[in-house]
Parts: sequence; structure tokens; C-alpha cells
Amino acid sequence: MSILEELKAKGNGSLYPDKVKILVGRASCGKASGADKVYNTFIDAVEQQGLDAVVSSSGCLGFCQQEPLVAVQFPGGTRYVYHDVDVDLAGEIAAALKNNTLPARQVLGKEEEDELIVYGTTNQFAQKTDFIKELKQVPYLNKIPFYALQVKIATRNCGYINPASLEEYVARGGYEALRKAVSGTPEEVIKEVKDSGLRGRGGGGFSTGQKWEFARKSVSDEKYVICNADEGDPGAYMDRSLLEGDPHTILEGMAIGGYAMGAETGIIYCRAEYPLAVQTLQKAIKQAEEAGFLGENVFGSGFNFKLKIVKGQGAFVCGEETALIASIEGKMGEPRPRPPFPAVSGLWGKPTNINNVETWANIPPIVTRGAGWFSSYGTEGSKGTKVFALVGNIMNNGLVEVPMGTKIADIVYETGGGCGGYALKAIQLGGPSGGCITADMLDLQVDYEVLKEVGAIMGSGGMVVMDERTCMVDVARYFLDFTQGESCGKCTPCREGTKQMLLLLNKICEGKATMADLELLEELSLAVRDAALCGLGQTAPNPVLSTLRYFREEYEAHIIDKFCPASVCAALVVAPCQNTCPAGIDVPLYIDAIKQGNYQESYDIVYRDNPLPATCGRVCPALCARRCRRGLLDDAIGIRELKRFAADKVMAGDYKVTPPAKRKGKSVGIVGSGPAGLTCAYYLAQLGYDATIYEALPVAGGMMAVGIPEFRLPAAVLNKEISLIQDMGVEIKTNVRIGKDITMKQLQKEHDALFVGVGAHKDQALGVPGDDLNGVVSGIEFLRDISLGKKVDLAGKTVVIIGGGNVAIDVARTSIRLGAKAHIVYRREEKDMPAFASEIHEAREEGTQFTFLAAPLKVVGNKKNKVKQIVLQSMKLGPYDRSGRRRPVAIEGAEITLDADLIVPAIGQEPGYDKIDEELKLNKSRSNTLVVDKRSMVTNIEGVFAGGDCVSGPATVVEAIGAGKKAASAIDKYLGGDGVLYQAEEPQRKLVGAVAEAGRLVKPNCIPLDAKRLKSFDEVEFAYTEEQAITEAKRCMRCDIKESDDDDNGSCGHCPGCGC
Amino acid sequence: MYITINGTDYEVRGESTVLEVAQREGIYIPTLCHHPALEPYGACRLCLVEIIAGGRPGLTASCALPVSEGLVIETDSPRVHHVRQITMKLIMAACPDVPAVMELAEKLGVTDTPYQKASVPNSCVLCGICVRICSKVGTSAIGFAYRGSDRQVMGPWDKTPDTCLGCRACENVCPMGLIKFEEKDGVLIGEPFKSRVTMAKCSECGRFFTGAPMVGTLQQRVGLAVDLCPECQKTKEARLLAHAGGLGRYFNLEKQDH
Ligand code: FES
Repeated sequence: MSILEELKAKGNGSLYPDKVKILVGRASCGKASGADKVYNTFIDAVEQQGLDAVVSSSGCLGFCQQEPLVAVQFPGGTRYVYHDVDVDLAGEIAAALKNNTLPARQVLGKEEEDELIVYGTTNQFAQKTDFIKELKQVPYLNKIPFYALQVKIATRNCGYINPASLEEYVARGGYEALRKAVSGTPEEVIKEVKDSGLRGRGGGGFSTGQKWEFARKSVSDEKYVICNADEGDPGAYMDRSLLEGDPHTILEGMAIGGYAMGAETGIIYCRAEYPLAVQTLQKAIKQAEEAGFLGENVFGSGFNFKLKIVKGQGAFVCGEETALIASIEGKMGEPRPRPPFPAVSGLWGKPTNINNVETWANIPPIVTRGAGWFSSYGTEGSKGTKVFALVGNIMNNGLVEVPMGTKIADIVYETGGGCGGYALKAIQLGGPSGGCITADMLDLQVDYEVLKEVGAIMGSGGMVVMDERTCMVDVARYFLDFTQGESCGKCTPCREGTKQMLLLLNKICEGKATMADLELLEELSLAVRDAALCGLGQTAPNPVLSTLRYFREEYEAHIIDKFCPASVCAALVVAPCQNTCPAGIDVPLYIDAIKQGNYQESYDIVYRDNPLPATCGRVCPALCARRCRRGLLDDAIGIRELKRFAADKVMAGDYKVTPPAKRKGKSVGIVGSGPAGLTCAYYLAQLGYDATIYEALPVAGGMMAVGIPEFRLPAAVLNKEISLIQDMGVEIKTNVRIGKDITMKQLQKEHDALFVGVGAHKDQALGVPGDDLNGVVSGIEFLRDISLGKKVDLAGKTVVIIGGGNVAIDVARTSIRLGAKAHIVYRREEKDMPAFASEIHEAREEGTQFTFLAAPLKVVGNKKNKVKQIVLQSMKLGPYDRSGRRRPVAIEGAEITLDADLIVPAIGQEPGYDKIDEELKLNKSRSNTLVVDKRSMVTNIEGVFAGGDCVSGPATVVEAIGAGKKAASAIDKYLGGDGVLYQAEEPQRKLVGAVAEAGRLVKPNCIPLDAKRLKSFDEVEFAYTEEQAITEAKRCMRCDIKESDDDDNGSCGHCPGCGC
Repeated sequence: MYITINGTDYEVRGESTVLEVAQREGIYIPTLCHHPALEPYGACRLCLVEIIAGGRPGLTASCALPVSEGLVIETDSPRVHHVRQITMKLIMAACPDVPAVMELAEKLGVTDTPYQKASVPNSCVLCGICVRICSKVGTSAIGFAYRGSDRQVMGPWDKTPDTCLGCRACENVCPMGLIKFEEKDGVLIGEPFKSRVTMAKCSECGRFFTGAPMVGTLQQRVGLAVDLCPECQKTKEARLLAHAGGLGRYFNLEKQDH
């Protein structure tokens, strides 16, 4: 029996023992989540409690988010992988095993065969473990989303073998490739590697085979092959995982390389910060030497190869090949100019080939399976697979190996599981040397050239996912801080340039920079890229350049508006809630006022920035709460509910506003009385302008009045707020339609400036045959008719609503109150609906039916052209689109027919302008919205400003309020003012009274769900009681109090924002 | 072989760098870290030139670029000029108000820097010539310490370098003139490296003349026994010469001796 066969037999014995096998993932990542304790629990069970099982360790199975992972397998039977195993679950598993069963909780997946990549065969497990009924439903491991797209070539053994066992490595095909290689010629090996299309996985992407060929052709008595394991990108740990999980594959790859290039010495340059990796490698080298796979006369071929490990002292720059070589030589780890290239003159002046860990790990299967097999994975120019460390704002953190050519969208949403409800913003590839791609580019494939073209790089495999909570300027600053600290300091551009870049970035993040600084930063970045000596310096500017390329607006916001849109840069952010609120309401202050029982003060704080507190207290989507840091602990604060509480309290009394005595003597005409128009008018009136609103409908309030049903926002509440705005001096003329009752030209003559805030009231048509039949009514029209008092009786009728937004939900809930059956049809899945989750919930509670994954094909009418039925196309989920939702695609031939008396399309709105644009020739976008300068809010016509839904497209009330404020400020400036809407003193920010540590969100009471509610248009939700409000207010952690303001306590420690 | 610099072809024989050819041909390329006695270092990046053809296109340090057939180089293209000026401005910010730096900057058309100037005055441009000369002719008594913008030249742990020979090569080559050695009571004091080297006494005149370790090293490395100060050495050589040439009778050599 050959040595390989001998080892293989032993390895199979320990891979598939004749008793239960328990395999605990104990790489660094597993250990960090407590794998050692779990391991010891099992050992204990065997040694102390007589469990008859083999307990072994493996490397990392990749799903680091759910470590510790434990695989349990009955002899020859199905293998089950448990996730997030703690000591309790381990004990439970051990106890269950004694009874020949297994617990059913926390099972990630099962396996019934092992794939042997090196051979291209599988080991089928003889028996299925069917006797455990509870586990029958467990999905196959390679079918769960995290693994479904993965193809494990480099990481083929990680998590499957005990890294300390040479036998297990051999049993899965190890050293077969080396045997094959040395029995042929070096040229054959090089040809295979070249033809495979393998390119350097360390980031450069140079053809590995070609590099080997250069080294082969260099004539020298001595040559070296080096494994670069100086992994240093923050967040990247692909190499560590491989070294810890499957050390022999690196050894084997290097020995094959040594043979091919004619090198007899190999060096693994490994970070000293990877003690487990170093230890594992040392052990592996010893084993391989003893077995004769390393050393003299390998497989009797006459080829000698020895390997040693050099520990690098943690300098990032030592990943650069010339610096790495200098470091091995015992010199300062500093790069030197090339040429000469290491392939000609490297270590000790001898030809040297350096490849990174992942590249080496790919070699053995390429040699056994051949170039054709390897290159069957991937794209034209990028073959095989790539290992990524998927980290950041992603649900499934971990190490993933996907074929080249995989779409980024699939990695992020399928493998990674998405961003947990937050919008994806960008993905940083290649760490500090790389660049980012944006959410628009998710269709891109993993491919060296494709990524390079968009300013990112493949890099060594760091894939940092960033969602809306990430500030891209801060990201650039973070990476620059890293590279600046890692610059060796040899060359001027890197040493001084990165320092100056960091200084400039700091200035921007602090809101102290000018646009000239931004120009300087960009110019400097380009120069450093051009001029630096080595790869570290040349690529250091990449994070800046690529964020500038895609997120320049964010830089400008920091500089011009002193605003950090992501609420990250501390110097510019009062608190994330305040910063996120489009109206900029000082949330922590008004919540604190409620906590102190000062409701009037609380209301005043809100009113200062938002003249519609009671309305917003009911309908605001509370973008602020999404960013509430309390939400990181338990639940976000009920910010909206608290606002409503204060508003209702104060409005119950007799609140008054007084117009300023000093008049400006100028007038502004406002078209549209929605939230944007009302707000704009209010602030202008407060500044002393004469503000007149022209409203086409008989009531004021725009969409708030005619688009939101009474049971969510009572007209009385809205009207009271509007009357306060009138008290401020705003004149509202209803029933005035532009182009019919008055022309824009007239308004221009009459006023010194105009604001257009006509909203987006035009429903998009269904666009299918029959959409003009009698009984097809658009959602907006439907809601408007009801609001304006039209009597509609829907008793016993069926209303089918098409769409997934709030309008669709409001139509459904209104129809139900009018006696109808409501049925919502949406083309995607429920979780993709843009409507508020609470609304969907309530609609369902009230009896709305839902049909998902269906889109209208045609509307069928009766003889009188009256709607009878709607025919729907059934859809299935296709690939992910940019929004992170799976695109619905039609299932040919699958149709659903629904009976309907009324069909209400609510598939989106767009602005309608009557005669406004015809008269003025306003510039419009492709989606028919008005184009304005984003800071001055002015249209292409001087003196005509615009804002709200007609500019942004359908959005929320509070965003329209924000736009109205911005426009008021801009109009004031235009008319000679300073643009300051109100004077306010810098508030005192002090924590008075403790923060309630425990306690989840207080939910406001609702009308009980009974027949009465379903017939009534009474408001469903109640305001907080005083007690509820105070309890809730006490939960606020007061992120607005900066450490230095609070010298008694220092950092309170409540807010995870501090710790993170 | 022929290479083209700024549109003119030059013939080059043997190995040399683009910088050397340019210097030979009187084409100005600014340098800071280059020293003809030392290996190419490529650190200051002032000598950047643009490769147009015959190599990987882009900017590269001419001091470290070996000539090769068909190389086409621009030494002052707009791109070179621009990047070089920025590099110069960075040096100016790091070493503000240093006359030698200002002078060089002026040559490159730079009068001021937009970057934040170093708050602690610093004159060393970190060209590393001293470090390299010390490692080549001396004993690597000094070296670089710290990374990135904290980089400095100093003796080990910023203490008196105990292997300093007192050869004063660093003093000689420093382009900024920052290194100064002074004799005081038989000790050679070198700053800023805190060198303290006992001096050797001239066996003739009894004056201190060089670092004592230097004498030993010369003996060791080249077998040269030096025990005279340069003055005495000169006199001795003159005397030998005179004797050899039979001129002794024209000069009263005896009398001139101390
Ligand atoms: S002289 Fe060439 S880089 Fe300094």
C-alpha cells in the first residue's frame, strides 16, 4: 500500500468513524464565539457521562455569523449542522444522542454526501437518519441561501476536516496533486496552471501561470516560492480561515509550485497576529515532512522541497512583495523600486515567486482536475471562484466562496441575506486599497476587469457592505486613517500625502472645510496615486477617489450644508433622530420636555420646526425612529407617538400664534396647499411676508386632506393646524385652479416670488386592456371623493386594489368601512410592500385579503362595459434587483381571475400640473417631476421656486414640510433676507432624571377591533395617556448630550453609539 | 542602445539609469534622495519622469529606472510637472521655511504650499542619504525609526549610537546640512544623532583628528594604519616625496617638523 493509500484509509476512519461523530468548528472565529466551551462540553459528555461518540475539531465552515457551528453525524448517516451552539444546546445534543435522537432546534442544515473536489467524486452516506422525525424538514445545507450559490474550491476542506489531521486531508484527496505533478514535467504543471486562467487572489490579479513561467525561466542555482499570508485589510480574514482550517492545501500548493518553478525552498510569511494559524502550519509542516511530502526526494521524484514559516510583525506594507522580501531578509519592511522584479531578483537576490494563500489553495484541484474543469467556472477573463469575507451591515456575516461571474446582488441579498431592512448604500471591495460600488451596480459580476472599470478592485476578498447608516466621507476617512498609520514613511507622497489627505478629510467631517479643500483633496489623491513608490501608497487614495466618484454630493453636504446625511459625523450631528428628520426637529429636547411634564414647551420645540405637529404625530413614517439608537438595545423610542401626545395636549387648550408686527412689504404666491405649500407659507408669514396660497380643491391640506382617510387623520385635527397657519397671516384661496381661474403670469405679476407645491396627485394608469371600463377608479380619486364627502355605498361589493403602497392600504381600509370586501393584489412579496408595516397589519386585521406575486393582465367587463373581473398573471421571484427585492417574473400560462365590482389601481402617482408648466415652460425630469436647484429650490424660471412631491416624486408629509422650510429660507434670501427662519438660542442639553434602562416601546391604545370599528371612520389609534407618554419619554437615551457637556457622568454608557 | 528623452535620441552605452543619462546630457531633473555613490532609493519622488513608450506607461522615479532600448521619456510633461509640484508642496508643508527646501521649490516654480504645515519645525526631508551612507561606509549606526509621518532618523532608541565611527560621512552628504560634528575635548560630538565618539590622537603632533573607532576600522577593513592627523600625514608624504625625488636639500624639512 502506498503511503497515500495508507493515510487515506486512516483518514476515512476518522472522517467517518463507526460511532457518532461530533465536529466543532474551532477556528479563531468559532473560538471567539465560545466554541472551546462547547467542545469541552462534548468532551465532558464522552469522558464523564459515557456518551459513545468521537468529538473532533474543524476549521471554519464560513458562516461566522452563526458560530459556533457543530456538525453531528450518526455512523454513516445524515450529518446535521447546528448553529449558534452554546453550552446548553451542546448539553442538549449530548443528552439526546444518548437516546439515539437529536434536538430539533437551531439546525442550520443537513448533508447526505461529501463532495471530494480534488477527485470530482462524492462520498454518499450509506443510511439516512430518518428515525428522527423532527429533523425531516431540515433543508440541505447547500440549499440554504447562505450556501446555495457557493462553490468551494479553495475552502473545500474548511469545516470538514480536522486541520491537525494529515490523514483526513489525504482522505479527501490531499497530496494526490503533488504526486501527479512530480510524476510529470514542471512544464506540464505550468501549462495546466496557465490554461486554468487562475489569477492572483491577493488583489493584483496577475496570471499565476505566467508568473510561474517567468520564475521558471529565470536561471539561478537557487529559487524561492513564498506564500504571502500577511493578511492585513481591516475586516478580511480569508487567509486566516484557510490557514487554520486546511493548512496542508497551502503546503501542497507550494510544493507543486516549487516543483514547477525549480525552487527547493518555500517560505510562508504569516502574520504573527495569527498564532493559531502559525501553530497549525507548524504542525502540518512537521506531518508532511514525516510522511515524505516535504523534504528530500518527494514521491521518489528526486525533487527536494523544504518549507519554513517566517512571522511578520504586523506591518500592512509587508504585504507588498518587495517589502515582504526585505522583511524576510531581516531588513526593515520597506518597499524598494521595481525593476528588478522578484521573479528575476527577489529574496537574497534570487528569483522568487510570491502568491497569496488563496491562490496556493487553488493549485491542488487544478492539477488533479485539470485546467478545463477549473475554467468552467467564471467569466471570460476571470476563472474559478473567489473567497470573500462578507462583513459590515449584512445579516449573514461570513466567509463565502462564489464562482467568478456571480452577481454582487446575489452575494449581498441571497448569500448575505441583505441589510436587515436598511437600504444598501455601497460595498467596499479590496479594503483600504480598493474602492466602492454603489447600490446601482448590484448587477455587476465578480470579475477582475468589471470591478476595476467601476473604480473598485477584486482585492484580496474584503467585501464590506454598507447601508444607509454609513457616511461615505467617514468611510474614506477611516480607510485613510488606516493607510496613513500603515505607511512605512519611505516615500514623500505616501508619507506626507496620506497625512494631508487625512487632515483634509477630518476637516470635512468636522464641517470646517471649504470647496477649495475638496478640490485640494481630489488633486492630492490623484497625485499620490500617480507618484507613490509602492502599491500601498498608490492605492491608498482609492477609497477617497471612489467615494468622490459616487458620493460627491455627500462630501458637498458636509462642506456646504454642514450636514452629515447619514448622521455619523459627530461634529455635525446633534442626535441621529434630529439629524434624520427632514424638518430637523430637535427630538431629544422635546422628548425631554415631556419627561419633565412640560408639554407646552415640548410642543413649542416641535412647532418651531414643523407647523403640523398633530398631523405628523399621526401620519409621519418617523424616519427618525429608524435611526434611534435605543433601537439597537431594544425598541426605538415612540417618537411619533410622543409628538402626537404633546400636540393633542396643547391643541386641546387654546394655543395661539401671532403674526409679526413688522412687515416686509413683499408678497409670495404659493400654488398648492399641501404640507410643502402650507409650511412654506407659514414660515414666510412668520418672517413678515404676505403669503397667499392658491388651492384648486375646495379644501386646504392637499394630500393630507384628500389622500389620508379620516380614521388615520381626522379632518378636524388637520383643519385646526391649518387655521393656526392662517392665524399667522397666511391667506388661503381655495377653488382656484391655475389655467382656469387664474394664470401663472398673473401670479407672477401679483407676487414678488412664487412657490409651486402642487404635489403628485395623478394616478398612473393600469396600462392593461379594460383599464378604462366603468368601475375602474384610481386610488387617489377614490380617496379624494370620499374625503370630499361623496356618498359611496359599497355594501356587499368586492373591491380589488392593485398596488402595495399606503394608498392601496388606505383604499382597502376605506372600502371595508363602506361595507365592501377588499382584496389587495401586489406583484411582489409582502415584505417588499412599500406601505408601512403597521398599516398592512391593521388592514389585514380588518379583513383585507392579499394576493401576492400577481400582476393585472386585463380587466373584463360585462355587456354594459361595467367591471366584472380582473385577470391576473401569476409571478414568481426572479433575480434580485437594485432595490434588494427579487424581481417578479411572469409564470407563463399561470393566471388567476378575481371577481370585482370596483378595481382601484394604486400603483404610484405623478405630479399633474394643469396649465402651470405649459405657461411657464418649467424644466421637468423624465419622471415628470420639476427640476430645481437642490439648495436654492429655484426652478429654471427666476423667482419661481418649487418643492414637495412635485419635485421629489411621491414622498412623505414630513419630507414635504422639510422642502417647504428650505424653500421659505431660499425665497427669503431671494427677496433680500438672510434665510434664517427663526432665532433660537443654543439649548442647554442636560440629562435630568435617569434613563429608563428596562422597558420596551409603549404601544398606544387603539379602538378595539370589532364590528363597530369596521363601520366607523373614527380615528383608530389613541394618543398616549400622560402616564404612557412619560414612561416612553424616559426611555430616551439623550444621544444629543455630548460627553463633554455632561461632565458629571462622562459617557453615560447607555447608548451603543458610543461603544460601537 | 538608444533612448529618447524629451524628443531627442541619446545613445547610451552600458548600464545606467535614466537620471544618470539626463544628468550627463544636461537635462535637469530635480532630486532629493539620490546620491551618486548610493544605490537607487526612489523615495523623494521628485525625480519622477513619464514613460511614454518602451516601458509601463506612467510616472516613475528616474533615479531607479534602468535605461533600456527604445525607452521614450518625458522629464517635464504637464503630468510630471503637476505631480512634481504637488510632491514639492508636500515637502514644503512637512519642512516649512527650510531654506534649502525653499530654494529647490523655487526652481520648480513653487512658492507656497496649500497644505497644513508641520507644527513642530522640522528640517529633515527624510531623503535617507545619511542612513544609507552609514550603512554603506559606516556601521548602520543610525537608521529610521517609526512609521509613516512619524518617521525620523536617529540612533537606536534615540540614544547615542554606540557603533558610530565618527567618520562624518553623514555630515558630508546631508543635502540639508543638518548634521554637524564638533570636536570638544577629544570627543567628537555629532548632532542630531547624539553621537559621542572618542577621538584618536595624532602620534606626531598630538592633536585629536578623527574618531578613534574610525582608525580601528580602517586598519581592519583595508589594513591601513592611520596614526597621523591629515596635516602630519601630508607633511610626512611630502617628506617622503621629497626624499624620493632627492629634493631634501632644497627644503629644510627637519625644521618644519614639529
Ligand atoms: S531622487 Fe529619485 S526618488 Fe528621490
